[in-house]
Amino acid sequence: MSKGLDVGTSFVVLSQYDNENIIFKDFRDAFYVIKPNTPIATKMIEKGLAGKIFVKDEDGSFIILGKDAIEKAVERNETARRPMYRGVVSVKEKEAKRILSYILTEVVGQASEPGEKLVFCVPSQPVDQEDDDFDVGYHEDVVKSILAQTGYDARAINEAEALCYAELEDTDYTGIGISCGAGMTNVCVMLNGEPTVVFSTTKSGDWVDRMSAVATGEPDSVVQVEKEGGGFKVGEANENPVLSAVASYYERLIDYTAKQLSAALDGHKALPKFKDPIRIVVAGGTSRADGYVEKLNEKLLEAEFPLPIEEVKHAEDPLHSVSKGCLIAASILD
Amino acid sequence: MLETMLLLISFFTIFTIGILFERYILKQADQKKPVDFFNKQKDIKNNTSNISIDSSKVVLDIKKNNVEKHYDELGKKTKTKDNTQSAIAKLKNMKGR
Repeated sequence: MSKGLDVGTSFVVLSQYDNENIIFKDFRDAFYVIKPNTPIATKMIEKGLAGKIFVKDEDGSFIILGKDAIEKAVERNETARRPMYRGVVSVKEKEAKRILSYILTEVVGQASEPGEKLVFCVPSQPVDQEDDDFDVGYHEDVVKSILAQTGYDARAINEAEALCYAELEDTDYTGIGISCGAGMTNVCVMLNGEPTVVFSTTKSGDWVDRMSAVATGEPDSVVQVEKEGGGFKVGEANENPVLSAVASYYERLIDYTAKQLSAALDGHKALPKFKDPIRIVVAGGTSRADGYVEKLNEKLLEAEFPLPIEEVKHAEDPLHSVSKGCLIAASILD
Repeated sequence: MLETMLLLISFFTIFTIGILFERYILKQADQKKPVDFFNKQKDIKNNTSNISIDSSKVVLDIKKNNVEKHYDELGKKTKTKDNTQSAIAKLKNMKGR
């Protein structure tokens, strides 16, 4: 048995085989803490949380987890906290790391046998962040240690490389995989199964939420909930002011991503000379917005993308593709 | 005569520096080239026990006994037909595994 795990900024997605099927287990990477001041408040909060996913901490505070955390934060006109930031363990709050550890061990569970293979994804070094603030090594070690405690032999794979393994079988693993997560956009250029160029950009879904929140004066979580409810098309005006801002910032994000991609690959020494136009496959929660893929295609052409494009294709199951790629990698190791 | 000698020495020095610089650039480019997941595994030994984490920054020891759970299971499950076997076979061939 082997498992794949997408440790994302917004979602943790576990994948595993079950006879002739694959079972995906998704959990929202978010939490919200309520600390009651009096015993009466404790009882009232506990009653209000009936049916929600939460744990009661030893200090008496309530830690609401997952989607329920976002709902509760929205209810209180606040923003839910997240254990991950821009694709790696958040260094901003100590509590976040404890929560990530808790969520991962609960979602993944104990290994079925000691040393069970598990492959999890990590992001690449960003091309649009020049300081040394970002390093994936520490994040990789932290996740590996958490998983080792539950009995797994855990190995890290590049997020976009995993996407290519899941989606580029038809083209003999030649093409480009773009994973549009919440915190980052990860890119892998692959030639016959070999990643030749990998990088990331630091703007993605969270940036859309933040900018739309600033523009409309709403908390990020409110924008996130509205955005995920759909009802807007990228680049098109909307009657709802929040969705209108989201649609507008989505277009700006895609424009930014296309320009970054073109600039990063233009004249890159390691870029192969593809004999045919290449396929670009797009996945990740951020890519699920209506019109995302079409707009990306349009913006790549505008940005004079340095390679001829056969098509820009949306992954069949965009939220699960990276996890599936991790599962494929784990199965080959097994 | 002295000028010719100086000129030759200058040419030779610049030529040598050029070669050394080219080697340096090529070495740098080679170091930056990504290594695929499967090749990386050849060098990895199971060294999870050797990893040291700064426990003041990361809380790894989750005391679940002191936490009161109010749920049955974390995560929403979905099931799809397994369509990965041909991909696994193809990749195994390509990677020589």
